[in-house]
Amino acid sequence: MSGVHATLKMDVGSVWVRDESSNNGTWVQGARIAPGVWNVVPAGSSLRFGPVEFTVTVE
Amino acid sequence: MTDDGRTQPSPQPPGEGAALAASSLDCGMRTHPGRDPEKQVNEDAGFHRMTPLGYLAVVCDGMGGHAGGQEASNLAVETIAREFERAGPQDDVKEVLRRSIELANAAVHALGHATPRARPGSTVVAIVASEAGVDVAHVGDSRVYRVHGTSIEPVTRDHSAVQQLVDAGVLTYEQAKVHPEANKITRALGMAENVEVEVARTALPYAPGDTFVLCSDGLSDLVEPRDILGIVTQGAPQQAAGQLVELANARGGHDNITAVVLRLRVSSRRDLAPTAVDEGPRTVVHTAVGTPIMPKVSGVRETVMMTPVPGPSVPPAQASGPQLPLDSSSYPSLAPSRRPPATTHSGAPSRAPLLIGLVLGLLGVATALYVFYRYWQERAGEHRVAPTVTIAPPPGPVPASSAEVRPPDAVPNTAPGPTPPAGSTAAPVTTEDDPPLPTLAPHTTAPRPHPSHHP
Repeated sequence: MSGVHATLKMDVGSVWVRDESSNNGTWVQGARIAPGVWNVVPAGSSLRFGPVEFTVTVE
Repeated sequence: MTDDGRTQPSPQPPGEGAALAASSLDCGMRTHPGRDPEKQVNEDAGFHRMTPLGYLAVVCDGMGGHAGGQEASNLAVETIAREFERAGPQDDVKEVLRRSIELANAAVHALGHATPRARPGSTVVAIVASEAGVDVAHVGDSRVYRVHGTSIEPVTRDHSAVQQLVDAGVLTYEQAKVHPEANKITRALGMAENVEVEVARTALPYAPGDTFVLCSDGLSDLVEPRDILGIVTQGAPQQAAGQLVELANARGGHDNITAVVLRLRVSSRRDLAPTAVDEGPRTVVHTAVGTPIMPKVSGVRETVMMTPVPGPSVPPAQASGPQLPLDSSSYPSLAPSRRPPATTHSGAPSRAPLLIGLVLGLLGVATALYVFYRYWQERAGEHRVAPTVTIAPPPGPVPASSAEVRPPDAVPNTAPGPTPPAGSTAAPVTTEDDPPLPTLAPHTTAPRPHPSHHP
């Protein structure tokens, strides 16, 4: 199990997530993201860490 | 623009591209500092020359302010050119492109910090025209367009934040054009020890008259593809390059401007189907080789790197040796074109590991969320910045464990992993005032553990 699964940040007005080479993967909108790469998480989209899924909203 | 039809495919077996005869193409370049009185140091650099592997054309757009940016882009161009001179005809063009750009990255990185906050850096776009076609590689937001007949299409897709937002459907094309942070690129040379170079998987075929236009954002911000098409189809490459730069200057010339125009007189070995060049409306395609693209926006700023987040890093596969977190992946890079309804990138491993992974994942995420929640609770009072991000879990079990989702602005690098020497985490690439670091929400609703059915 990786010590850090993923990193989130806010930039250019959006939420971004980067998978930190997690064993279980990170998914945005149902698609697994490549490790080490920032991916935008559009408001309202699903964000899944391993088996647990979230919905992200920006207010 | 005649298709003389006399060019015959080479009888040689397919292989790596033999260099073209010099008479097979025509290339021109123009670079200009632009009209901004504060940017009269030209941080762009361009180059074109025949090499053992084919005709090489490069544009680099330096950043980091004055001498730093200029030095970076010149060094990048020189490094790439030198590497191509050393190559032999048996070398693989794509490999040499990748290697030379990686070396350029290392060379620029070795320049060190121009100021405590900013490193000099550079974008790069490079093409090699050989008999096999045109190979393309890039890092950042310098571009290549291909003009074929009466159509123009982008060949590269910017490594920029707004491009990714457009791809994800967060911004429309029009919104992105006026986005105040349209200048943020997600990859650049010199920012880290390693860089992810995007090299097109296949060489683009070409037909006689096909023209490739390389440019820095000082051009693409102000000169639309349709303008490029109009200019390029009406004159010789050198003249066209000059006119492109003049047009950008006429429209404000807010940044350094570089254009390299390369026109082929022959066909690549895998010919394109001939097109009727004299009829029909001119077409402007906004889709880069299967991926969406957005013309870079007219803005008044210089290119900067997207805000990096210090943290644990995932070194590129080929990375070797110890790395500072700052050096490996603090600088985000884009995944290859994925659109929102992204298709098939499922990295599903085999069954058993998956199950174990699921369980561990559950444990990990739970802790992550807990830590995250605690963090935000602590920080909630201190933050006053806008957007509130709520991450709401669906009903589901959230057991406990050992992972954490690092909050974005845990600026001091608290994460495990190599610890950089003091001060280096703060030395990102931004060349202008940037908001401190990410601002994830004043209050983030942490996921509540939810009773449920999951084992």
